[in-house]
Amino acid sequence: MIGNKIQPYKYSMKIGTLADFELSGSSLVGFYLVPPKNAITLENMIMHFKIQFDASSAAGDRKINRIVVTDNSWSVRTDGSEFRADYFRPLTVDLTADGNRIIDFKMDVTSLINKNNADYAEQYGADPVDINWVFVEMPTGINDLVTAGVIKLWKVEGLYTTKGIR
Amino acid sequence: MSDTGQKDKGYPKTDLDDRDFDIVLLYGGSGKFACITPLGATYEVYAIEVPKHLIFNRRLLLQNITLGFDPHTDAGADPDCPNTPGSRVPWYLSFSADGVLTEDEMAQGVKFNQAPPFDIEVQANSLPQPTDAGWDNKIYVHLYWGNASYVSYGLPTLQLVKHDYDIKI
Repeated sequence: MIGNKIQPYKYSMKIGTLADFELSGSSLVGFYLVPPKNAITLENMIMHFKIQFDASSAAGDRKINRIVVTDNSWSVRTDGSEFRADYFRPLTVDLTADGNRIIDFKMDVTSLINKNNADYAEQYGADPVDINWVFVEMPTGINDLVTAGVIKLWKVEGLYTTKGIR
Repeated sequence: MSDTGQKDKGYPKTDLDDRDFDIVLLYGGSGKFACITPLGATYEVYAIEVPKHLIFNRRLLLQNITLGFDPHTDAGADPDCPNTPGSRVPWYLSFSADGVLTEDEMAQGVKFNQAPPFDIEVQANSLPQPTDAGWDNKIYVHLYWGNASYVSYGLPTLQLVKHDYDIKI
């Protein structure tokens, strides 16, 4: 029998949590979970998102249209067309708020990520790197609100492989 | 439970020694934060409250802050925003004791046509005084630009830096 010693890469779990963040004048919110500096790939990503829309928002705007994973920022133009990043994976979810204007959901976004986009970026707007931004897209009507709502919780968990042998 | 036999040497290290995430807010369509919007009026009047026993306004120092009031013509839509700034247009600054000036009167005010930030020093002879009709312990500041379709990133307001005045003892 031939001995075969498997030497898998180390796994590193990273969790980022945003709480009670006031959403203002924006319908596209992005979350970049900063990987470990020695990350090789992103294997899994799970997120938990809870938002309470402001009472001033139109009832029809209390929605989440899509979850998008992209390697850079993008925008939806006034004519409905999109300026897109190189990597762009949208998933239409069409979630609607409940009677308390709350949307609360958990989602495995692993199928949307690019596993190789595990670069470490010092900050947003630095040199373009291959990273996984997770965006929540809401109706553009809330762009006009100074207070569109409060992101009660946004938790993103990523499982990375990292350099080094176990 | 079986023992893996693994023996760690030294203390384990953690990756969580710096920030965990970054947040970005973008706009989709006519985002008010990202897109410039028409002013929607031809002038703005606001009041600076002054002390009750003031008897003479000596000097007022105002500042149009960085990204402050800077009206431009509307150059129309680009792919991202319905309004974009065109060329810079002048605006006029005047003061009153009662907040009442006609648009023609406001257009006689001091003209500005430059990029903020800059300071504006106003001497006593240009300021309303407690002896003026309609005085109610406020200095009304009038900013006039004359076209509701003009656009500006900053709101039509000036920051009060200093107010020199005489007071009754």
